[in-house]
Amino acid sequence: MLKYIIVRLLHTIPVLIGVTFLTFLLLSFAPSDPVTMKYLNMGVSGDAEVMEAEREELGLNDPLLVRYGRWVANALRGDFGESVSYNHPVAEEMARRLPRTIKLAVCALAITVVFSIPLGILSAVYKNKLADYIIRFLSFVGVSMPSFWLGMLLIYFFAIKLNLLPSISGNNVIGLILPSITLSVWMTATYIRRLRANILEEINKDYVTGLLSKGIPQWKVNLKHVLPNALLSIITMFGMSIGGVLGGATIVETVFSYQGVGKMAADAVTARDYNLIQGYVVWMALIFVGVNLAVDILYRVLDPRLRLGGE
Amino acid sequence: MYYVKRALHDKKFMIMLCITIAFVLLTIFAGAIAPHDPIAQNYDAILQPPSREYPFGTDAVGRCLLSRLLYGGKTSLVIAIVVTLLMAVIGVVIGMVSGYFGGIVDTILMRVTDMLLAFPHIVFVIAIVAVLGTGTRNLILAMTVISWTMFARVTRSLVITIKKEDYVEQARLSGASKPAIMFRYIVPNVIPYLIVLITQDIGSNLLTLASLSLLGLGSQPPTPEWGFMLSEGKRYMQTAPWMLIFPGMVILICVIIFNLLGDSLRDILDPRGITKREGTSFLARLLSRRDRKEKEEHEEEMA
Repeated sequence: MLKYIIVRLLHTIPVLIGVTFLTFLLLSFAPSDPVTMKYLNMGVSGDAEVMEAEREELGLNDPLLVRYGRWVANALRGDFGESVSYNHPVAEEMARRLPRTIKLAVCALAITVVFSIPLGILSAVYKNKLADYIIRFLSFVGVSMPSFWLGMLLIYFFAIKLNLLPSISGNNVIGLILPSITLSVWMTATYIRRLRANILEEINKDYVTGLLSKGIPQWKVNLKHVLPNALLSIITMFGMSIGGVLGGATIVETVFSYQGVGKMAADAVTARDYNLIQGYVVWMALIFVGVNLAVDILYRVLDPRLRLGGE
Repeated sequence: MYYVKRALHDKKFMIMLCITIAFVLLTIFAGAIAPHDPIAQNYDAILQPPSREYPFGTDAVGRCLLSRLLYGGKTSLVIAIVVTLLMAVIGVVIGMVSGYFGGIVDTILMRVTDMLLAFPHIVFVIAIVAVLGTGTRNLILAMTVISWTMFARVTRSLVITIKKEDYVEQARLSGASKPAIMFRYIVPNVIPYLIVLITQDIGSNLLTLASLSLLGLGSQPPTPEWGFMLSEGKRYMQTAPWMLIFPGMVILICVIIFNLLGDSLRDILDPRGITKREGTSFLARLLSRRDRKEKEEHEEEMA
């Protein structure tokens, strides 16, 4: 098991290097550099020679690989450079906003689990009955629903019409309600569909027939054998949906003016704040890779076939 | 021909196809149908609720919403279709080469796709648009550069599977050249799956594009575009909720239509459900070796 974890950890290193290098390469094509931005922000057009000297001093004229190496060395110490739009270090801004986005993501995942598991079971157990049709219809609409529109509709009904919840989400529990519901709808819908399909597939397996022929009641077989097996794949879904959550957070945060990293990244594009974008991409990659690693390990722990089969 | 025959007899598919065609025609002939000029401002009719004159109401500068939605469909739908086709062409060519020739090309390409797949696309698109600047063209470019990988992956695994089939082996033994095998035996067998994937992707690309232009990364005013119209609608939601409701509804309906069309096409073209996927970020799975192993086993089984 330990060996497996170490191997998987080593596997993430090339992915992280690749992702950071790709973004570094990409952002190095950006039409403006920190020196130009600095003078632009001060509102003066700098002397060409002075600017060139400053670039030399900052090492902006060094070869790409040298600059990348320096960037990695700094990033490993937690230094992602200065943000031009906030006038303080990128790391500081990330530290302030990242917990908010994580809070949002965790709430959305919690809502997803609470709703999708019972509804998925219900839908499978009452296959082709009224309840199943209703759940399937709703989850189909949920999959196709644009999250930004849903968010706006929720603001319209709950903030403007009923005046129950704030339309701009502050950093508190009440402000989290609408954004996390918005973020969770698409996931809930996909989880329900997946769980239903899994249960139905599992129910047709030979061991279920075997247990039933032994005289064990259907509900007991479902509860003790079918469900745990079907739920296992939900864990895989977790790893899969983390990318969707991180991407979706950008949109949901913008709609609700929730001050997380997603909103920050969207704003950074118009402000041409490249250091901030680079820092954002790195953190998203870290979270993504980390969660997937955790899911893989958890999966191994929970699935006896993998646990006992070994590597 | 076999597939066309099956499709013609499939009621569900034909209904979906007719609806889709009707929808596309509506936007193509927007100029003839739209009651007003989508850009003309009319300060006598600002923020009018839906009426006989303006069926969907007007916006803050008195532009007819229905006309803007019809014209906007041109922009939004055309962009979504163009992006999907671009991704498909690039991905398919790369996937074919990679799958058919294997070797070092294959290894490099697969490592690159691994990297691109292992990441929330929207984050990369944001980074690219940050460098290139906002605008429709750059958005198309960014999305294509990031998302071709899915097509490359699927094509590659299909090619690898088909390559092992007896009829391909026979063609090779009878002395057919590599290009001949590729175009006469492999391409025709890959196409049905690709059609399913492309149709399913138009819907999700439409959604992504609308959300990106909502973030202000896409087309710039006054061009009517669905995502951007929604962001205007958000600003006036208190006084003019119709600016919020109609554009969103149109996007939702459009996505549902393409998803349903994709589903019914899959039933016809892909009975084994190879292209079946739950949600868009199934790509993330490819990061972990567990699933790759599963997939390889599956490929072996099929071969």
